[in-house]
Amino acid sequence: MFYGYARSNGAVGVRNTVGIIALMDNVNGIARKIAENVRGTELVTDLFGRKLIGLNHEMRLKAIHGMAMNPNVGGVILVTLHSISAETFAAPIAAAGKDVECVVYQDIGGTLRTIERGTLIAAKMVKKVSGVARTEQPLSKLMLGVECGGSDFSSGIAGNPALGHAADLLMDAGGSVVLSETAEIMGAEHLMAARAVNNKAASDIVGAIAEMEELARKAGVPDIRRGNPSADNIKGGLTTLAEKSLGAVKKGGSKPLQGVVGYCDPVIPDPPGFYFMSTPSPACESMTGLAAGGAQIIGFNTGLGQPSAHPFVPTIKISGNPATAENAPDDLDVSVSDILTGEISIEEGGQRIYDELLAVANGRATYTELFGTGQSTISIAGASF
Amino acid sequence: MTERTDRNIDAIMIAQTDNVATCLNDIAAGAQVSVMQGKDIVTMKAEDPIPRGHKIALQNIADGDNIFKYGEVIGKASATIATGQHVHTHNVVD
Repeated sequence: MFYGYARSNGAVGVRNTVGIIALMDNVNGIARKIAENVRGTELVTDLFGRKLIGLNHEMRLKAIHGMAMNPNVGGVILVTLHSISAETFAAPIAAAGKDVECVVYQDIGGTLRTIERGTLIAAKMVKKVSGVARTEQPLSKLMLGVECGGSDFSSGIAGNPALGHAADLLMDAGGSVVLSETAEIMGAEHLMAARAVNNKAASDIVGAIAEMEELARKAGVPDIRRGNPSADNIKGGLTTLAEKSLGAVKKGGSKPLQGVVGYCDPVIPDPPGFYFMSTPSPACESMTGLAAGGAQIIGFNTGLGQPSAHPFVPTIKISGNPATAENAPDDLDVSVSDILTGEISIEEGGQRIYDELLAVANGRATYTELFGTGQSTISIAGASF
Repeated sequence: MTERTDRNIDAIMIAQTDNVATCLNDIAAGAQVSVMQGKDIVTMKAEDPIPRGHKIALQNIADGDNIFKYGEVIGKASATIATGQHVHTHNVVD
């Protein structure tokens, strides 16, 4: 069990933040000022937001709704230019039972007055939300997103397998795990499909890869598998594409695949277990998907170091590279670099990550939370794989 | 199987069912290789020179047999591979 914040819809947060979300790039500055003025808030800004159409508009709706609904968010303030966008986004959040307020620049008039009004609204919401206490919760309420970035030699043989072991420990205890980054599982999709609990999950995982390959074709890359593993990969010792992909896939553990969801769709862990979200590979875009899907914690393995985190989701940084552990101690919440020096086994490294995961669930801060360096990025269709 | 006496390892086996391990250093042919297998360190002889990041066979593998790493099939042997030999594109296919 762990101690978390029970929400009215049955979800449980490991944080109790007031999310300040800028709905458009033109109000990012105002949203940032409001967040700076009030402790207990976390800021999400993004590029774009105006005049998006089609898939980009749909992704934005899902991403912002999902992030607002993340269980770590006790209440949400939408900062926007005009009342139409405020209504579009706020109504479904309110209907889903989450406290939501809008700060609408054109209704209030003037940057300073908007910041002032927003600051008061944010302060009142933090005052209300911060009165909620942590209560004892079963681990079945916990969903871990797994991520890797800045990968190197150590990632596939130490950090990712150890994170995968921690993922298995969480699922053994009744919790759930979400893997993402579709391009990185290419070549291992048949192994993922073989782990699927039903035909739908199996065909969805294969379909997610096919969709990504089609996106690459449209972008002018006729066969994204060609030359993969690359000459450099082969020189480095990777023999097949399945081997390369498994180095990334294994951070999700080894349990049966329960289901596959699209980018920023909610992950409903019924039954609890292992899920996949189809996302682009860049970490900020992928973690935005995981946050929108409802993951309350992210386990992020890095080889060479990678500073990103999601503002709403405590992101546990892990490395199996002894040099990174030495050079970037302020970025690593857990080092498992002693696997490669022969001091601990992969399983012992996994246990260490799992212990940190529970501590963070109970309230221990991650470095990126302490530094406030989180960043959210909603994908733009066709821009990245 | 030897007890863990020192902490220098040359290779790591990731899952208990693997038949290869990944080398952490460049290995010379004929060298003694300490392979981490779970909590244990097992010593074996390298039959080939094996670069850092490449794989060493932990057992004899027949032509056509599966190559296991991460507890999963990463390819098939395209030749007979003896314990201690280098396992890579010259003797493995998709």
